[in-house]
Parts: sequence; C-alpha cells; structure tokens
Amino acid sequence: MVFNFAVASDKHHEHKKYDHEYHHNDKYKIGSIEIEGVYTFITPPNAKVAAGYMKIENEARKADTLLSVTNVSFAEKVEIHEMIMENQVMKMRPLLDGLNIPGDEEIYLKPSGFHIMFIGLKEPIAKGKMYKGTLNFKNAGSITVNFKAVDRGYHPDKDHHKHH
Amino acid sequence: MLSKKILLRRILPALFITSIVLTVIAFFALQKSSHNLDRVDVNFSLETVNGDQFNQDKLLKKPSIIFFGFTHCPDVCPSSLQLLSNLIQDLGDDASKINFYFVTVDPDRDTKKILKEYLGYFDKKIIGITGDKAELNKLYGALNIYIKRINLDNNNYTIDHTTSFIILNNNAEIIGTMIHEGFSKLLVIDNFGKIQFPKEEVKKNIIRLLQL
Repeated sequence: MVFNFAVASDKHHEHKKYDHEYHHNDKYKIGSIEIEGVYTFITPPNAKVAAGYMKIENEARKADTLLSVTNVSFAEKVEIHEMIMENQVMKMRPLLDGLNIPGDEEIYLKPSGFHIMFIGLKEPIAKGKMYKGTLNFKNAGSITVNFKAVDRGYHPDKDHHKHH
Repeated sequence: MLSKKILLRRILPALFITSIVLTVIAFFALQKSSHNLDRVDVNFSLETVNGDQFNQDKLLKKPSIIFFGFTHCPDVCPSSLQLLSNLIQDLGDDASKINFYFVTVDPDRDTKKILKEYLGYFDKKIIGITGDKAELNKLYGALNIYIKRINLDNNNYTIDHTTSFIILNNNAEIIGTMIHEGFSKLLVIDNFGKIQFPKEEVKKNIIRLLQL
C-alpha cells in the first residue's frame, strides 16, 4: 500500500520538557518532590475520561515513584498512564508499578506522554474549576493537589511565550 | 593517483551513462506514482450521527478529511478534534469545500447519540460516523487505519489506533495525510512527498494539496 509516512519512525518519548519553558505559580512540595503546573482539560459532553498533567521534580539523589493518585471524587477510578506514538499509532498503557521519577530529574506529564487518567467521570470537567487529587509517592509521601481545568490547546506557558 | 587520461576516457563516460540511466528510472518512477493513488473502492454502509447514510458515494463530489478515534480517548482524540476545529476556522469559506469526518473506532460505546453530543463541543462541520463493526472494518481497511483493542482491568479497554488524518480528493483517492507534531501542531504530507509543505502553514498546505 502507499502509506509511506515521511516521518515513519517518530517515536514520541520525550518526557524531559514541555515545548517551551515552564511558568506557573501553583507549586507543591513534599519531601524532595516538587510539583507545579497541575492541570486537566475541559471535557466534551459524554466524555467518560480525562487526563491530568503536571511537572514533577525530584530533588533527591534517589529515585522516587508516583505510586497512585487517590482521593479523587469526580471519577470512579484513577490510573497512571503512558502514551506511546509509534508510526502514527497511539498506544496507551497503564503503568502498573507507578511512574518512576529519577533522582535529580524532572518528569513532565503532558499530552502525548505520561498522564493521570481519570476514568468514569461523574461530571464533565468544567472550565475554571479545580479538581482535587492526592498524589502518593513511595518515598516522599502523599500530597493533595488541585488540577486546574483549562481549555484544550492550553500550554502551561502560553501566556508568557505567545511567540517563539 | 589516477592519471588524467584514465579519468577522461573511462570514469567520466561511465558517470555520464549512470546519470542518464538514473534520470530515466526516476522519470518512470514519478510517472508511475502519479497514477497510482490508493482509491477507496469498497462498498460500505455506515451512518452519520444525524441518521444520514454514509457510504462510498459520499466520498465523491467533495474532498474529505477523515479522523478515527473514540470518546473514551483522553488525549489524542480530543486534541485532534480541537486542532481540526482550529483548521476549519482558519479555512473560513474554503472549509465548506471539504467534508470533515470523525469515524469511531469504538462502535460498542460510541452510539450515535453519545457521539453527536460529544462532537457538539467541537466545530459543527465535523460529522460523526458510526455503524456496524463489519462495515466500519471495510473503511478502516480501505484507509489503512490500524486498530487494536487492548483489554484493561475490570472489563475496561482502550484502543490503539492510527492518529493520522486521511485526506481524500473528490475522487475518493488518498492524496495525503496530516500528522501530529507534539500534539499542538499538524503537519500536512502529500502521499508521494512531491510537495514539501512548509511546517507552519496548515491551512495553505491543505488548500494547495486539494487545489481548492
């Protein structure tokens, strides 16, 4: 068949940065873990799922693991997912052992990469509202964060870097 | 060291002949490819979310841009629909010269009603398509769409699927695709790589590809 994609082997697997530099004021800290830019997208009607994103920085030398997200009242179930794009095919897999945050590194949960998957939404995600969830880390412990509901097409840094 | 004599008498003529041969091969290769577009020539019978029939004849008259996805998809599907909506807005009046379709890869969960309400959030020009699995499979096959159901815990499942937008001309021939770049941009690719589209101008590239 004809389908020879010009970019046939673009395996999206870049979790080290957003497309632009990061700016935001919501910051959380627990132990050596620092979290910022926690957001989720507004959902279309009937959407049963939503994804949550953030930047997680591990200031310890030792790796940590985001084991789970609990205390979420707006969805029936929460999982940590990895998305892989292979030859333009999207594959989404739950990270059953959690998300590894290497020591002295930052990991970005972002569209096309890792995300917190909210399954079985009890209500649509509405603009401007905050959605609570508790992040449970293996070493650092647990911290509750607010997912800010934003428009799709939102970039955490957009206001500061409209032109690049 | 090669002497000048050998260079002139042997190597140059050899290079000359090689270049002619390559040119002829390239010429025929291009000739062949321009008449070799994949065409959707399978009979399928599906339905739009408004209850209208959707079959192979609907791919004639106007060019089409088709995306495949499902409402239980958290990330790439809504992002794609948003990017498509932005493109439709950018196209302005030219958008009415193209049909835009969102075909479900999850007919079990995406009923007409659910799909219609979901798509109502995006540009109204995007028409949802669903139907029987066997009929949908014909369309996936004709457009080379990869789909695989992956079972998760608790009877839940997700679906691996091709995320390229398929671009058909008004003869139901696949003339190009749009692919994602980092989920925030679309790149237009013509099927034979004949046109190198500039990255930033999705709207212009679509107009050029479809000769609107």
